[in-house]
Amino acid sequence: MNRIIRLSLSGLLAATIVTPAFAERSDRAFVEEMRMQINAARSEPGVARAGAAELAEAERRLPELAKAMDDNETEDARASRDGINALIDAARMRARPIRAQAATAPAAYTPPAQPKRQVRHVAYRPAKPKPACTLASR
Amino acid sequence: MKIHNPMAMLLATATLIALPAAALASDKARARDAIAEADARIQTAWAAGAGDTAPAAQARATAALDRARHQLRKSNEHHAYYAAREAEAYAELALATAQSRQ
Repeated sequence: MNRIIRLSLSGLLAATIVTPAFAERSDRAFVEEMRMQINAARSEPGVARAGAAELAEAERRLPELAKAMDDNETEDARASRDGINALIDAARMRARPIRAQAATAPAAYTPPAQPKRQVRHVAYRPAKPKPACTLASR
Repeated sequence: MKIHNPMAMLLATATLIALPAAALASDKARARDAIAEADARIQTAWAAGAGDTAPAAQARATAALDRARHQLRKSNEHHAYYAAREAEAYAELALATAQSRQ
């Protein structure tokens, strides 16, 4: 009986120590996932340039998200996550006109392919001398 | 324990009381600033025509701002701050959508 009590107490203690560690690890993984989403958006064409301010703001909010998750403030974490996602979408939206412009712009001029010039090898024949222009020939 | 200096004890007690009060005041100011910024951003988005071009984002921004004000009234400064930041982000999205369609 004594052994069972001791075992259950040590199990409870282990669970108490391990559970926050796991939670913290999953929180960090989630924040890293959000950072990867920001980087993925940045790698899309035009987004890094047109949505630079929005992506920088989204990155600045990552510590706030981490803090809300560490404090187990579910509602705050949700608000922070939604805000970051909205900022990523805003960055993509800023890049949209640039992408549309690039799609409709005329392609750079490329001359049409020309058929290969054929070279005829003909033996050289000197031109016939023209008759001299005299008054009698007119 | 014998108290040697009653003045020092009084000062320490006053500091212990004043520090959390100052932190609370700064949290309130931070939440108020965030609400003011979000409100300004929402107004800018309205002026840019986000009500027509991005009604969903604009509605979410307004709802989050209302939530932030409600939380501040209930003295939940942290919740108010986070809700205001969410409102600002959605207003930014609405503004970007409106400007991209102009």
